[in-house]
Amino acid sequence: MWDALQLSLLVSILATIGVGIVGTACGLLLARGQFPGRTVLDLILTLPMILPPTVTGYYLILLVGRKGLLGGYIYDWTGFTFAFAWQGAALASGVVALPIMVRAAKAAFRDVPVDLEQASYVLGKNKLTTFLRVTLPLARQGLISGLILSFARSIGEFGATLMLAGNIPGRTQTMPLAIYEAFTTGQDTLAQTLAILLTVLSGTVIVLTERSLQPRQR
Amino acid sequence: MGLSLVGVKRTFNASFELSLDMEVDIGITILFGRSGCGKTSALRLIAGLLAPEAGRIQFDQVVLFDARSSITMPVHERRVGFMFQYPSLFPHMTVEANIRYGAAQALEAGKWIDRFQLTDLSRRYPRELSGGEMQRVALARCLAAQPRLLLLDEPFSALDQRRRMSFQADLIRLREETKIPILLVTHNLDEAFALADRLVVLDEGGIVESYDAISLFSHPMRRVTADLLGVENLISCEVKQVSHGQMVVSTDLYEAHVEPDARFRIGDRIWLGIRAVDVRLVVTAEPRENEVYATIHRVIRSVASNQILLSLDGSTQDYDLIMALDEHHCIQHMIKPGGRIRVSLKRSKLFLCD
Repeated sequence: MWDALQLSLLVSILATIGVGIVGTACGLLLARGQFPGRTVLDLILTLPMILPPTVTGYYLILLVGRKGLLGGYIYDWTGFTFAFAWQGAALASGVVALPIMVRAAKAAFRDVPVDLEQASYVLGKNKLTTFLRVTLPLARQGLISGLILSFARSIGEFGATLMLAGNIPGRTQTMPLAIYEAFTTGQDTLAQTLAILLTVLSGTVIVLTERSLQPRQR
Repeated sequence: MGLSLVGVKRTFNASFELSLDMEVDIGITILFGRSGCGKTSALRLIAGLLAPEAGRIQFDQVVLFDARSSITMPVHERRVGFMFQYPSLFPHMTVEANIRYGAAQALEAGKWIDRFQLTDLSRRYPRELSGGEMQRVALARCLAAQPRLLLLDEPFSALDQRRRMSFQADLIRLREETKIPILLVTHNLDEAFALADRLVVLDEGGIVESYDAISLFSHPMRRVTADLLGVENLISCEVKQVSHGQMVVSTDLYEAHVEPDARFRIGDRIWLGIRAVDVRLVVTAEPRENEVYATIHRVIRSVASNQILLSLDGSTQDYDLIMALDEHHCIQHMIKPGGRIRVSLKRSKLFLCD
């Protein structure tokens, strides 16, 4: 049980960090960028939210599985594969949670008035300084809630993880997979305990989200 | 030398092109024009927030933009202070942090905090400030960044009358204390008149006239400028006589002696202009220059001075001339609709425009 909890936390934290970086960058690009293929990128980044997780998992196998489009090269060069590894669980959780972060980041960056960024430029600050000192702090609230929701989504991820990483106890078995296995093998007490643990964890995340969305008090 | 724009062009759509040739020296230059004539875009082109398609923008020896040499200095390197129409203060920073943000040195920020008496507000956030306070902070923030030029986009538009006056006083003091050329955009005639050292009139994307403010206010040379600058009386006329020292023009109702204007020849159809405040009521018996008889058509009361609409003798219009007269004189001389009066159009106050 603790193995599953530990792995779930590790997978979700790593997935959230990755999603935070990639999702923020993609959100910024979609909110501010004007480039060919913008709509296609937006669609691709939204798909994991619409598709059944098993389909997302299937695509991930095709892409990063041992014989996948990219996975084949990775395996040939490094001997590493995402398939049936905890890193695969982190990747699957991240991919499924990515649309949430992208949408939150896109909305957060769109809400930052362009006037303020321009005010920063005319005050002698370059784009990077402006992003770090003006855009990012002003988008902070939206980004934090995006991160928390991404964490919640990744900790509850089941289908895509099962497809790519499998369900190997102590290696790739996360909480949702452990609950499923406990239930299907008649270990009702274990299933209930794990379910309650996951519920408490998810509840805590919701409370944190609510708090982060409230206006800051000085 | 200051700022110079030579052949700067930017097309916004098929029907609107902004075309600018102008210079901005030390003091306050007002870029004046109707809403939507391209004033704000002109400032954005200078600051680098919009890219021109042609021309050259230069400050002293520093080239900010040159289409021929493909030079475009990045916005953050231009050292051009830009105060937006709305203060655009960073909401997550205190007043002090806002002012320090662009300051090259902490001392510079402190200097402008003191200068604009913002010490008591320094720990407050923008949402805790009034409109006037926000404008002062925005101006202090611009100045703390030590700009070589200051661009102010309708800085009074969000202020009430009292705060407007106070902020105007701040700008006048700033003009006296610093050597920074200031280019201020407005469509408000009173603001332009109160602040301008030099006036640049913009209409439909092009500069119509550019001259020292007092001359342009009193003697605009183009009809469109006179219109924009609120000249109440613009009358179609024809040049009848040109001789040394004077010129005679004829309207449908009277002939007027005006100062000679070398631009015009006998027979030219032009416009004769005079401000309502320069149309004088004649109360003495002796004749005055350019004197006409009129019937009072209507009296429109206002806080500053009343507008008297006059129908000149022989006219078929409701009114042909507007005269401004304060309430006290209206009462004293019994100015009422239907009354007959004599007015004089002082030669030095009349101007001709095409």
